[in-house]
Amino acid sequence: MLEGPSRLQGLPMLRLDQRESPPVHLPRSGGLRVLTKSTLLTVLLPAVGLGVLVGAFARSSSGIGWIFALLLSSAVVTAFAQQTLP
Amino acid sequence: MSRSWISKAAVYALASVVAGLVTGAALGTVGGLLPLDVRLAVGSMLALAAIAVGSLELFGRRIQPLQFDCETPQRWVNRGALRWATRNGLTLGFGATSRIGFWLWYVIPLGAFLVGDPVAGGAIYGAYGLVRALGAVVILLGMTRLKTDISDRLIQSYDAARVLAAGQLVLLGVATAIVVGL
Repeated sequence: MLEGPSRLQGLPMLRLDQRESPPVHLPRSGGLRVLTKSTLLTVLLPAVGLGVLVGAFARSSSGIGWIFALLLSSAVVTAFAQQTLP
Repeated sequence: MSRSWISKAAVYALASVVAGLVTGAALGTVGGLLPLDVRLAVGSMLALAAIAVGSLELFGRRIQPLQFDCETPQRWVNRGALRWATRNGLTLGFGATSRIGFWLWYVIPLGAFLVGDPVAGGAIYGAYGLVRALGAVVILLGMTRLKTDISDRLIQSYDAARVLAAGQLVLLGVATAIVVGL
């Protein structure tokens, strides 16, 4: 498939665009509401709880190592998440 | 699979990693010029912002991130496959000039800057470049071998990715806020 880059146009993560100058999108609120009760229970509370645990543990030991690990995992999660961009 | 395909995929991935490593190292170097107290103060404010934005996202109030909502220019295709792979890899590994999509992305440059160390900054941004490049290569491989459009399935996972990214943002924000002593 990489033999002819023009065939890659259909792939969203590599889609090529014809615009010369990119439009800047400023932050704005809105969009679909995604939170359900299960999201709250399965994501928000565990994220806060885990954050408190990691933070407390990091404070009693080498904090920078834990924060570095979290930053590294955030980079990996971001790269994975961006593959899903429509 | 042809050697040509592999070489282009390797160039693409390498360019993406190099872009991440160089950007992260540069940010870490510049960040190191700031006193630790300043970086901690900025980090604590950003931690609160991360908790707020991540929570809003999880509560269903989406805030579009500041971004260039664009793709790599089509004319790059005409400059040859290897050049296309190099430029595309550099652009996606850098990330800031293409579609960002998630607030969590800002953790990468800000984190690389605030750690104040070129090696740590390079590792954070380089990991992003590596995973972003390998993700595309793996998808292409899967599409070639399985003859199915994996990218469509990935796009269907967008909402799940939003929730995951917002959760990670909250986790990082809470942990950072506690570590920096709020």
